[in-house]
Amino acid sequence: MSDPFLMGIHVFFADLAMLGYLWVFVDLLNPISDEKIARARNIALFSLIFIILTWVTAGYYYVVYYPADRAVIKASSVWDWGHKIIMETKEHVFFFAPVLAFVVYFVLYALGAELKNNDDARKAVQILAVVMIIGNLLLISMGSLIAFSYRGALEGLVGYLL
Amino acid sequence: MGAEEKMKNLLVPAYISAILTAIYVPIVTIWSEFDEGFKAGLAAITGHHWITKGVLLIVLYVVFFIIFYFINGPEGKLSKKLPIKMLNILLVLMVFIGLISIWSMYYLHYIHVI
Repeated sequence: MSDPFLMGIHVFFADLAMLGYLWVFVDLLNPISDEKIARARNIALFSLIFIILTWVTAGYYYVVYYPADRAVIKASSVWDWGHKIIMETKEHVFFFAPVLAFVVYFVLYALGAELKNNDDARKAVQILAVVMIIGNLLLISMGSLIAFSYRGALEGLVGYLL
Repeated sequence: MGAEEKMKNLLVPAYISAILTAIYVPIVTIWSEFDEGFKAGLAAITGHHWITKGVLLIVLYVVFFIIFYFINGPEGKLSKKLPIKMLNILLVLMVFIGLISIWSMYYLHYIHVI
């Protein structure tokens, strides 16, 4: 059994967080101002909240609904990589996201207006924002591959039963 | 010491805790994959190994943060030695190494090399 709403909403939350990091990156480009720093800090908090919401919704789906999907994928010797490599990697790599999200917000919160005079810290936040964007794109791609392998495995299973 | 200095002194514990938890992720992932007893132990704590790993991640982050907050002290001993640029590079590097380690382990396990 699956839950399309939960499946979709966790990706939606992750996408909102990713857009937030894009915003943070752009806001911290020169010329920088107090207003831009304050906005970047608020957006980083918004993204951190959405990363946590992604964690909760994806985790709930993974624990409650995914075991049935996993059984279908693992039943196929052709498509089982979808779980055994991609999902296993995805579920653990995700753990980096809340840690990085917290650091991005914390640097903006702790340094505040001082970021105007601290190029190293400003660039550090921008680098972490880019890592979050690339990481999110990677996790979304992995999710697509898992769905792809699930459909392949399901087709094979239905074909076998018919 | 002003409030601004105090906040800046919190940056080093925040970064070091992030680096250490970024090291914890591949270690707990790989260890649980090769030690069924350890994985079962993790699952027994919360009902699912993945939830326990997540809870441990938060707990470790907070514990490391407190430890390095006290090591850093009000005078910011570590803050003077560890520039944010270096800490940031280390953090990104640890995340990258973690990602490659986890993916490689599952891939090599899948093709029965390990």
